[in-house]
Amino acid sequence: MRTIFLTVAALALGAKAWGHHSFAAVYLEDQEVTIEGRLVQFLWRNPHTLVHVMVEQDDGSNVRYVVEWGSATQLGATGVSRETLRPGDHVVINGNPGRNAEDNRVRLLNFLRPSDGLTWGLRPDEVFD
Amino acid sequence: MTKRLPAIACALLAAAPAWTQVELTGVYEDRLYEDYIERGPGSDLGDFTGMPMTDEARAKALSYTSNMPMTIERQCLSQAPWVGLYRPRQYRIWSINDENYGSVIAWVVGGNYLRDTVTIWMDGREHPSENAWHPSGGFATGKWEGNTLTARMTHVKTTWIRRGNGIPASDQTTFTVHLTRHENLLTVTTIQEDPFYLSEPHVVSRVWEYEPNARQGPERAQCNTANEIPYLEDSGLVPHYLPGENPEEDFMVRTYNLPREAALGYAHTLYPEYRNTIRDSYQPPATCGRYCCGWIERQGLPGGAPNLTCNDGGFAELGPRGRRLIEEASE
Repeated sequence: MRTIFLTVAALALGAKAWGHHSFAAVYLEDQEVTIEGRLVQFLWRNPHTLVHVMVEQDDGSNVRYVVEWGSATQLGATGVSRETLRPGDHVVINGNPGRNAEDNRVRLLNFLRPSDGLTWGLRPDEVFD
Repeated sequence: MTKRLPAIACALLAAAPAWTQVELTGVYEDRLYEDYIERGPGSDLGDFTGMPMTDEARAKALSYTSNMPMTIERQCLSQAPWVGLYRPRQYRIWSINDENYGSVIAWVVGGNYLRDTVTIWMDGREHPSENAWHPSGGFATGKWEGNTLTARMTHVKTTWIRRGNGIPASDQTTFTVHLTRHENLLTVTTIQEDPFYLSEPHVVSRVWEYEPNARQGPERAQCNTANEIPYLEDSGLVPHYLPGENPEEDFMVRTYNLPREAALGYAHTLYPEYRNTIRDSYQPPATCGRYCCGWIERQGLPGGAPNLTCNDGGFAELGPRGRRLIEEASE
């Protein structure tokens, strides 16, 4: 399973993200998880953008993760657009896991697209609430 | 001379309101120096501390799961008009003025994501019939009481009170709201009453700071639904807990050793006297595991106050991961 529970140091510069709902109620804020896989859907929307990532498991099966990101409005202010990510992108995402493991949810703290080195969440202004 | 005194007094009294009204126009940024947990990361599931809840409210709140608002039909539900007291968001306030005379007809508290704009009418109009439509922003009238704008709000929608842990509020909720500006600080106090879900008035006050350099971008945008949890898609499922099955019901008990009645919103636990009843039995946790220095953990990030350090030996600055590693190493 390509779910790594201790993150690459470069991704560990934590960015806080607070939501219109209680993140403490939805995610385990004292834990971090890294998922790596193929982006299958990028939902640029309000109140929160969603990134669906297919993650290959140890047994070869694939599990669809839903990664919660900032609102389209807030992300737009940090230079992200609906064209930033595309289906098929290989991404490494670091974030807080959902409280219900079966939901396969992650709150995005930062990400890396290895193909071109694109990152988000490493600068102080790259936060969302 | 004596005969002139009543006339002079009347003239002074008549002029008094003009002296005690305060300009509210502007943007006020949240400063999370107080109530950091609730305004920042958000309430924990099962944390009903400080709430005077009825048994019905408690039962409904304990049926709530964090997945419930993720369902398609609930993602874009409007939040309570004064949910801003529980969120890390700014307030933008402006006035609607008579175009001929310039007098203030209404004060407007601009909305943001899922919270509708609130209009506080100052022109003396009556509240509509109790059978009238309940808009997301409720209906509010206001008047000046000294330097405080006091508003009375009715006609709200059914919502949740806090942010994301299921404490319900009915559409029979009323608010008395005080907006008080002390130079650059704005204090918003809400007194919420609900015949169904609150056994006593629920009083909250929070502070914002005037920000002349606030961002001018849009605060509101269309809410679009999407599949947030794959297994819920087209399932018709409504996530919930049956009575007695909520695993978070004792979260505050096991995390902070709080008495169950204090965690679950029994009104008598709100009062200072309650401390005396648990003085001999309450044992605080041996160590701090989370939010050890409150908002100071936001140091270096937008909204963090400068030049302050947490006096816990640096434990808080480690962040959740660092603390966990240290705790694991010490086990």
